[in-house]
Amino acid sequence: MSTRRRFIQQTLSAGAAAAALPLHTASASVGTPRAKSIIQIWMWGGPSHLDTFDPKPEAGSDFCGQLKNPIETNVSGIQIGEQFPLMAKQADKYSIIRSMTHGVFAHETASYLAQTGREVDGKRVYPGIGSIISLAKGYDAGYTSSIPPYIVLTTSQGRFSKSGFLGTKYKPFITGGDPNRDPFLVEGFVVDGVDEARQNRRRELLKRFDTSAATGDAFSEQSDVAREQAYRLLTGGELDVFDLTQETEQQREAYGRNWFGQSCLMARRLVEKGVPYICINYPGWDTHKGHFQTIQRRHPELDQGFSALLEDLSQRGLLDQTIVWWGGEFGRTPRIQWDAPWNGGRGHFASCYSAVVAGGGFSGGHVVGQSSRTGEEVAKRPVYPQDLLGSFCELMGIDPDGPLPGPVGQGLPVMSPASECGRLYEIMKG
Amino acid sequence: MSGKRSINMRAIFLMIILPALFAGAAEPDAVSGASMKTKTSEPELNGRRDRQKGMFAAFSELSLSGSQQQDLQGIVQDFMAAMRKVNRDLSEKYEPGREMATARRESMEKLRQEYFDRAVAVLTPGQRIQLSQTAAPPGGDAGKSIPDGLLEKIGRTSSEAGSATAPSGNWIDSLTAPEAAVCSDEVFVRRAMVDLAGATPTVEDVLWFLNDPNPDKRARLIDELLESPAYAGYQALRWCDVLRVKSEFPIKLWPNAVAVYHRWVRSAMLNNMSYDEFARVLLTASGSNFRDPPVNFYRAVQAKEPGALADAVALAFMGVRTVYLPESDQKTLPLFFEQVAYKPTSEWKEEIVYWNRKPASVSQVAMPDGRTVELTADRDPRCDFADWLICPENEWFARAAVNRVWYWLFGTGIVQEPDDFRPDNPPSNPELLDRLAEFFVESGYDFHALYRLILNSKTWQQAAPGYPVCPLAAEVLQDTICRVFGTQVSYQSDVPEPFSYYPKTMRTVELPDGTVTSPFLQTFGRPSRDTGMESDRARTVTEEQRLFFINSTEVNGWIEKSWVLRVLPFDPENRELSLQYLWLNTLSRYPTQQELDTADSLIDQVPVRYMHEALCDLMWMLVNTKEFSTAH
Repeated sequence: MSTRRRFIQQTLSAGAAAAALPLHTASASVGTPRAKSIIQIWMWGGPSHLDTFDPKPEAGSDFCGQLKNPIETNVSGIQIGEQFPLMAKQADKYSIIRSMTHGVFAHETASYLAQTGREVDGKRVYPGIGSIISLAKGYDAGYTSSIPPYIVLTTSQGRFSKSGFLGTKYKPFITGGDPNRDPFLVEGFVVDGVDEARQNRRRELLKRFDTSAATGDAFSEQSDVAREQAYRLLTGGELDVFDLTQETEQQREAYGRNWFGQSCLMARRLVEKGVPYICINYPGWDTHKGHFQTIQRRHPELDQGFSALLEDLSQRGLLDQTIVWWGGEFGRTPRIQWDAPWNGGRGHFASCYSAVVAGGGFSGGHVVGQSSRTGEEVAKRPVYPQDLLGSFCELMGIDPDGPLPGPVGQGLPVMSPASECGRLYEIMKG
Repeated sequence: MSGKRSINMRAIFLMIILPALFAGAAEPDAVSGASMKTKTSEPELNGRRDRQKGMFAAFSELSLSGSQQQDLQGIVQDFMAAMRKVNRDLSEKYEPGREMATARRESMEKLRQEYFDRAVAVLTPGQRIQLSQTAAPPGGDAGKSIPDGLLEKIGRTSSEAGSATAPSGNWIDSLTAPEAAVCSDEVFVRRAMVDLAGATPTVEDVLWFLNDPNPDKRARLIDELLESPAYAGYQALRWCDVLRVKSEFPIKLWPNAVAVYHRWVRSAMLNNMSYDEFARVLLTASGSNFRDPPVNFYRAVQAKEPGALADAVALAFMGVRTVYLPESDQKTLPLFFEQVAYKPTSEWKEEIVYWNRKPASVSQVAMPDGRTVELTADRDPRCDFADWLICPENEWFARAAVNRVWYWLFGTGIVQEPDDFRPDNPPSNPELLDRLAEFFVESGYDFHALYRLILNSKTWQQAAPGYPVCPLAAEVLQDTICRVFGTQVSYQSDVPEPFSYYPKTMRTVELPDGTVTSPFLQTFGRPSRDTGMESDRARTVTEEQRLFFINSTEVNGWIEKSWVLRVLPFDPENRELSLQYLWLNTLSRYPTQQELDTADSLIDQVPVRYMHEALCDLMWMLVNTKEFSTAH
């Protein structure tokens, strides 16, 4: 992988009194990975930036509704939404990007863009960042664990093809099940009523019978290999990772006893196992109607799980090597739609929205970019999806401008070139 | 067994389908609820009614000969008369009441069975298979009991019953020189149904075929399957892969358009539309995407610009990836699609595809094969292109089509990848490709004729591994699972809004939309339909697939709840028949003696209270065999 020098092209615009960062040359970052894993908290549907990490009380109630009192965080000068008191205590661990933008307002295309960093070009379907990481850090790159290298908790995103032209091998493993239930029934790994002894009996049975099928052809061999691999996964002795009852009750409570909280806890356990990419596919943020009722119910859950994850990772010394990325395919319309049928809803909004990054070589306690007074436009330092994703690649030691590894990559570049404002060097630790 | 019998196909066939088919012969009281009432409760009755509707539609699609219709009409009349007689006799013997109802039910049951057998005897084996395939939805409660007499029939039949004379083969064999012997009847019936109808045979299907003494039953089955709606459904699936039929990203046809487009393709297959016409209609279509289905050909692309349209056309109808064409040709092909235009209407997501007449940028176009095509201002250039493409001299059109069919049947094209014709990727057997193409042109681009030719060859009928084993298509596998376990899947598509929901009784193979959410289909290689390339449908076995069968909640749940295991008698006396049923039901073949003995001794060793567990394990074993999930 090449080492190249890059220069920051844009000054950092941080929250009013947030620690000013020195301008520095980002260099030699590619090739020396800072991060080993990425946890993606995918806010499927698009969360409102105004109600989360970019509050705009001064814009008036047409924009912020009743949420007029943003709260101070433990980093002076940075305020966040009032429904996030726990996240406010962790602000030194993460940085907020308030100038995400791409201008695509439809879920499918925006999900694709936000996770592949590519515009739809009509020729190829590109792989998402998770599949890129799976390709560059998974089994082709010496990963040996029986736990798949790209895991999605707990259901498929559906609207987005994930591995694109890389093919099925780099698709995520979708766990199914619910980590908030015991046992967490992970598809293919943990099944109620079939213990190890029975599993072995069955395997013996199959050996005795599966002889009459056509043998000696290429397909049968491939099939046998796949079966052996499946058994290797099953009997790899690493399934304990999915057993959340091994955590203390106190720990589980800290994350919140709900699907999201326990998914965050699960993600931490997977990081400990060395899984390079974990996506928590967190649905339900497409709040066209009844927006404020929904977030009132759900923000506390998000606040608790997200903050517990950051704190726990940090206490275990894992945050430095783990990128945590929070965000959706876009934000939501800053101006509230009060009229029927929306009755206080927010629509899709991709001109300006927020994302949060923490750990893995990102420094915390900063704000990148700035949105306009109403949050409807980027005021300073636009960040495009490819800038964000390219930054992840660099921190993972993958050259975003180099070719995708292996023949499946077809020699195509890992990521679209960075926009003119560049990747997020201002918050990457030197 | 017989006590638990719920209404089955026979009864439905006699009570509803036949009378309605031969309207006039039926009397209203023959189909009234009175005779239908059995021990079942109300909700099940509703379910039945739905099923009857479905089966009626399926039966009406059978093509019966004149003499068959006459015979059946006679049987129906006899049946009606017999029923009237029974009713008369009963009312003389009993007072109205429970006793009479019971006696009546029993007599009717007997009658239905008798006349059903007589009626079914009129059908050819292929018609019976069609009937059972299209009439019974995959899984569901259509077969929650073992039909009366079936186990006995299993006992009377053997895998060698009425074994077919080996096909005489045809000229294909002289070019491929198949080495292996011809496959058995059991293998044949499964292979024919999988390749033509996208379905695996039921126990009844296998027995019917084995018991048919006709020496040319293989050729006949092929003919009958080609005429079946199941064939149309499966061919539509394959063509919809090629034509990228999906409602959302990155193709974005929208659900209404997907529905009409799929239906159009399916009925083209049902009517065996000639391939030249099929291609011409698609290439030259204009109109609304909701009202003129073929225009969706020009909308099922990721980018609607002349270059992208040319790419799609070349891939679908020439088997050519334009990137490998000489640069001059890459510039030539888009010229024909420069005047394709799109405009919205006032209806949500409706779009008109039309010829936006403008002076062509050139008047003489040199085509990739050296011919010259003249463009004039008064003709849609797409028509000029179609004329050039669809003619016997065109070196790609017929070859690409026969090669595609060959790929579908054998898993490897004569040119492989099947949609990558170029000088440096020559056919493995050029003479075979040329002669198949010639044959196809001479037949009038007749898919039925092409299938008939290939399927009647010894090449296609040879035993594995001479015949290349490959995985079943994901959709076929899902339908097989539903049939074997008596489960159903209800599909829905969460994109785009409003969501689409499909009836549970729909075969997976018939799903029109590539966007439908299904982790199963995704795991087992369903194509994304993003590219229209054949390679988009994965034909590999992955560890994820094996893991699914070895240890997933779904598979274990299906096995645990399998009605077959609940109703089959495994006492020593009936065990052999039941085991045979299990094998026939799951693998569409009889178990070998060795398999029978092994299974028998296994069951013998199990204490009664672990019996169910042991049977579940046996069932688990059957679906985990390679045989179960392959075309072989």
